[in-house]
Amino acid sequence: MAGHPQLNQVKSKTERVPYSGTFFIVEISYHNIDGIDGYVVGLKFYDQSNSTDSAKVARVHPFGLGRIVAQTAIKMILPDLDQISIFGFYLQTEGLEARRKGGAARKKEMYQAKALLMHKDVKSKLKHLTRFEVDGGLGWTMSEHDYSSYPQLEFFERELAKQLEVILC
Amino acid sequence: MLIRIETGELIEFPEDLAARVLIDPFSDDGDKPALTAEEVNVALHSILGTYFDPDLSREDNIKAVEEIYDQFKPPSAESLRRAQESIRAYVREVKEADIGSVDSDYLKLFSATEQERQFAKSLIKPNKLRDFSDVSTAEIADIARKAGQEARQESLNAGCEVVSEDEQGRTVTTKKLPDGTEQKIVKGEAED
Repeated sequence: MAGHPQLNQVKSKTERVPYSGTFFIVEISYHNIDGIDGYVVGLKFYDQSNSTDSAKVARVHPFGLGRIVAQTAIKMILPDLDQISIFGFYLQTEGLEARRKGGAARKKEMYQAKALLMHKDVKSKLKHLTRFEVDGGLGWTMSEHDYSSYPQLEFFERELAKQLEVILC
Repeated sequence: MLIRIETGELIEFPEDLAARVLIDPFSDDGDKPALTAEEVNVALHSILGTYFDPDLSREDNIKAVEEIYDQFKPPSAESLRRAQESIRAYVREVKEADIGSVDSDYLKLFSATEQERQFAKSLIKPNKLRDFSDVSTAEIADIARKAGQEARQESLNAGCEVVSEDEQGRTVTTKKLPDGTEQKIVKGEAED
């Protein structure tokens, strides 16, 4: 969501996380949105190096990758939890099949596991875990109030330019 | 059934819980095909690898995974049947050496876009200080000597007098003259 003028970004935090000979970047951005008391916080993470572009295919053990990213993100936001109203992240699935067969499903599984793990640490404040599905991607949010009750939902929908399907757990 | 944890060790994990982990708790749609053995290998290890806390026992980790899925309503019988079928394929087909390992194409899914890569590069500070243990004594001496020579030259260019000790231990004062030549005055000799 970063970059949209109505998503007034007020601050961001970045951590470099070493993992299996490369680094992952975990980026948290804080936004002030009209009508929402606390911050709306977005998470992004990605591999820093070019190493994975190598044509040589090796065997790797991804065990622990999702955890290290989720824990880093949680450590970054916990000190501000009292001031956060919505925390979420988005997975763009477009183009993933070209990178790897079944890529969209595999990446979605790990992102969802991260969402479920992170929600355990923030649910005292951000009770509602929601997944929304849109064309070309999907997102997970943890929010203080039922996500579909936010009047700004329409704005989020418009911003994502997609139909929103809210599934509560 | 066996899964491989971060230490490389194989541990026993309950098959029913593994099947439950494979079912999307947000979208229990009944017409998805069963996963192949290799897909299960990747999916299970990336999901359980996210949940597993290396500081907890196997039993406590299993309990923590159960708690995550107990928040959701139970899956449909059809979804459960299909997930169990996928687990059986994993148990049957994945060789012990391959448990928990996937091809490196998997990590490509997390590669940065060009824009993200540029941002990541900007986080690496140029002229990063090296650890002393990475640098030889001779290299440190060379860096110090060059730094000294540069400082001396800059001082002279700025019109300052540079006081140094020569090889015989005498105090030498050097000054740059307007014609560009350097004038050296040896302390003992000047007094004479």
